[in-house]
Amino acid sequence: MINFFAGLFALAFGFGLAFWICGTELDKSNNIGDSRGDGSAYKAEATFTSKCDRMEQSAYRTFVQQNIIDNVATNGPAGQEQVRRLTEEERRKKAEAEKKSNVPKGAFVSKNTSAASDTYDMPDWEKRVGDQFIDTSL
Amino acid sequence: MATLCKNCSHALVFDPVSQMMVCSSCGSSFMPEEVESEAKKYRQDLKAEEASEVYNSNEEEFMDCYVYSCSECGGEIIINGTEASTTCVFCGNPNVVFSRIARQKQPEFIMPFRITKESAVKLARDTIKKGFFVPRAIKKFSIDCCRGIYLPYWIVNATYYDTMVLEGRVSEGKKRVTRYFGRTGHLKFKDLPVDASKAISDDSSSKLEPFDLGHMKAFDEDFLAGFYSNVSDVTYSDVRKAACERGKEFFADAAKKDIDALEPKVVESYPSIDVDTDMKYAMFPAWFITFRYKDKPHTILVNGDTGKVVCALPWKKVLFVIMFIATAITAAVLSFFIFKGLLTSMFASGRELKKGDLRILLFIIVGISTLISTGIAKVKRVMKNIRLTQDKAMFNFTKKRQG
Repeated sequence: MINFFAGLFALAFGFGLAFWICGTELDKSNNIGDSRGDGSAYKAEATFTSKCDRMEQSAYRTFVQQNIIDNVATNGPAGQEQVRRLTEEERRKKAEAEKKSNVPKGAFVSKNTSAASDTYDMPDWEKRVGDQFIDTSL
Repeated sequence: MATLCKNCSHALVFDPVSQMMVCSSCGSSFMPEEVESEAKKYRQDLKAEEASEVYNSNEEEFMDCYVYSCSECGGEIIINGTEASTTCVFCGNPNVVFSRIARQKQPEFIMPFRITKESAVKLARDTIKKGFFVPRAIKKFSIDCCRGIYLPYWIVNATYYDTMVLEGRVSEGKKRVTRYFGRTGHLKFKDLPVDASKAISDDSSSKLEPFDLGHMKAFDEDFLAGFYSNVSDVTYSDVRKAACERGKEFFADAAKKDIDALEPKVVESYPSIDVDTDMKYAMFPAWFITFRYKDKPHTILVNGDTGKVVCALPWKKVLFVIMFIATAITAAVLSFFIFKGLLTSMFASGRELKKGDLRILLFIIVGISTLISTGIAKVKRVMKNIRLTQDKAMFNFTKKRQG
């Protein structure tokens, strides 16, 4: 009986090891250049806004329902339109729109730490917003 | 129309070694950016006739094909709607027809070839020669054709959003159990090249990465002289889909690193992506080397900038089977005595089976199944990539060009 099970295990191990060795060698020998740039090559930085660890299978549905992000609406052209370069005019308008919407979220911390300087280092976004809302009625 | 030599009026060709426009007739060389030629002005007004009209035929082979005249010999040049440069089949001179395309559709950047045709073939042969399972006939393959083709790419910046659930094995007390991990967030990536040609699969073209974007230059039609090239024919939806797939890969990698579990696997993912519409349009160089083996077409790709070789080749099946059986028998015989000793000590008369013994048996069974599944997965990956190398569409993409 022991011989039978030892033989069974040995046979399974032999086939397993053979699969692994031959598969690895075949991959190395015949599969040339099978790689592509990973996240670090494209400065990919992930920011996790919600995390939940060691959930049971029943709990992960709730996590999904609570955290699912609706499809992000892009400003881009319709899907079936051929991709093209933006014109200079489009680029200029886009840059202007981005500048206007570039108001930082969260509290602004002034870099002006010296009271003696007697100046307020107005950040760029505040200057831009200020330009738009100058009260001319006064 | 070709850019002509100022000294002898022979057609100039871009030389990857010197990075200059070279005249094969008088040996003069010029910087591509400095060549001010009549050809560039001429191309602006270049008119093409549709092949179906010229030949008064509605046959499929003339669909989306255009007829030009060679600027050197007046021979007929037939190219399809996405080609931008080619070679005259009669005189062999380079012909660039780029400016027939609206300026807005022209690339902003180009990464000139740095690898010559001879170097590309040598790199491919040297790499293949090292393959233990590669058949001898493939190691000595005779080239069907070897073409340097500039592929169109959109360089994309995007923000990827996802809510992802992963499963992994964790220790709880003395047990190993499967648990689930949720990660929601976003991932920004920059300068991702997305293949802009429908003719070749993203799976094949992405393997040409990495490209060193530092080698890019402002686009000039003269870099195309002597090479073939294609222009973008993809839609915004194609680019978003490709960028989303890569974003998912990067996000999954980051999530796997962030969790503390063994063998993490993505179970569910709810992705969306915001692609910056101001994409940079560039052309990247690649050598396409085709050959036939057992009547099947094969295409080897070589990155024209870095020299990276991409292909998957059929293997010597007899050698593989012999090696497999020999390894299996040797490992089985050697391990038989180990297993016999182990089982004898476990099931010795009068001894009860302990929990630790069961754990050892479980470990052996899991180990064996992991070895088998990993080995099978590797063989499957090779087979999938062989299908890409044998892809008829890619073979025709290279072969069906004039010259």
